[in-house]
Amino acid sequence: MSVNAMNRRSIERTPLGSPAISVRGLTKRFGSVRAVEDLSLEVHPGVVTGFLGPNGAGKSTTLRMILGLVAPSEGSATVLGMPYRSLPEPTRTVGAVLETQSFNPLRSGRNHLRVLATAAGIPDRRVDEVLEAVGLESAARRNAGTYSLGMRQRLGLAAALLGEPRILILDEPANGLDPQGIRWLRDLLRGFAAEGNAVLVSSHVLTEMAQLADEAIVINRGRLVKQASLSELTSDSRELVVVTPEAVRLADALHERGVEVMTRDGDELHVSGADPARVGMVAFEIGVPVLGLAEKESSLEDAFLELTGEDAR
Amino acid sequence: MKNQIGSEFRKLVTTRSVYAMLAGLLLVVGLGVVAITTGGEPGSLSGPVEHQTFMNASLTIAPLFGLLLGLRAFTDEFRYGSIVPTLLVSPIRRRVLGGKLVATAGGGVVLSVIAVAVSIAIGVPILIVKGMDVTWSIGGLAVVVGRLAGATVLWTALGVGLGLAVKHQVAAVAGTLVWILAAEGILSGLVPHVAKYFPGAAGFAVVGLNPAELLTPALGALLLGAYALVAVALGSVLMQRRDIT
Repeated sequence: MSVNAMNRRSIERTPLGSPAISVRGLTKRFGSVRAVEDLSLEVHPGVVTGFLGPNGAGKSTTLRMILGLVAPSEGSATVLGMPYRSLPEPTRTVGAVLETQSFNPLRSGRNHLRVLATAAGIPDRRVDEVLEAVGLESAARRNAGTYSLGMRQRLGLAAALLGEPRILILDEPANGLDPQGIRWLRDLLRGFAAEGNAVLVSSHVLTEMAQLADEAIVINRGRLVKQASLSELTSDSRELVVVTPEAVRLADALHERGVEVMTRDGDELHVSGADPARVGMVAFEIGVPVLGLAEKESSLEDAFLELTGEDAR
Repeated sequence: MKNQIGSEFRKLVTTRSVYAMLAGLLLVVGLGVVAITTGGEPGSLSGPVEHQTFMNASLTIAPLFGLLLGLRAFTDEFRYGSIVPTLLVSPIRRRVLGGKLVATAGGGVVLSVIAVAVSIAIGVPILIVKGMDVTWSIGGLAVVVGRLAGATVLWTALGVGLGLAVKHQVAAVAGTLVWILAAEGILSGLVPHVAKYFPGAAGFAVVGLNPAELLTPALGALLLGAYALVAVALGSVLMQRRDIT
């Protein structure tokens, strides 16, 4: 689908203010449980911002505070400088998908959207447009309860797009999407952001996020762990496997030059925080033959676990 | 606000359970009318249509269905999670409450009118077959329909408020029905002087049932209206503070 069909009026639109979303000192306590604690972050237009954290980190609670569904215990969350509940036209400003099951299962997908469109003063023909945009037109008259998980995600997305919003907030949108669906979602979000709009998309799976987002905000236990570009996040966590017959000498040389050697296993060294060229040059300088130099594939998930796991607590 | 009311009306007419409720109402009212008219002594079947005992089927049952219609307005949304998109589109929660009050009130009027129409459509032919003289007055009929619609509307508001306050559909429906259908009956035997001020009794008073023991229709309406107001205010206050998680 074309992004222009999704947001036809975007070309005539004024640039979106920055930051699109601003969270300051946000705290939420449910009884004695601190779901979110002193969280500050900003979401800017033009990029897809990923909101990362393990299950229970406080992502959904934060998104719900931004959207006026949950009242903060302390701090503030604003959209274009205003609390969500004060936005004059919320549906035309923000489109959000929070849960996959958020409709009456005995109502058709089309009627579900028509009900929402009526409340927002949006004409019915826009309902058919968004149904087409998310590829649900053939199932539009069926009860939404019969939809598959992926179709439910698409229905949620259709609802979010109804008002041709400038900001999209999606909670775990890749759940239930097949690889093609994820690629479709990525193209949609990238195109949407490229038109000067803002996207905040949450996930607990880093590899999924690596496909969707440009910027990443990582939280754990309700606190900010890191806000960085996704490439920075993944390069920090880059791990190299070096194979050399003189592993001890190379390890010492790398250590002297401030490159961290994590483990040594016979002829194999595991090195973190350095690029292959740097390691290769060090080996050349001390005259050690390098038989293998490769990046370890699973390092994204490892980095995420490292940031949010026991060590970070 | 106009958009909100329109949206809530659309929810009503696109919800299958509402049509199932309407079918249930017509079935119960129809059976009631048939039972009263075929079983009744000729002496009990005289008089103008609007004061016939077979009308009591509508007068007792339609307000209860109005109550159910009100109870499901918010509890359906909490049950299915549709409260989230509803509040995202309309973040001002009092506006959503207002839309639901107006839409279910309209639904209550429709229920009342249909119930009376079906009662007459079934009852009058049976009276004619039994050889009774059928008379009616438009004014008398209007008063009966007006009181029924008024009572049903107040019941929908009470239901909307209670549903919003309780949130859980089964708890709200079961609790309310047990109170009105069982608890009030038992209490009216124990403390008859207090029991006529209970919501169920006030509701029956509005439609002119059992005038010997219950309040006048006007007083009943005032009292039922007060109960509805309290329920709506309670629901509204709770809703304002509630986190939608």
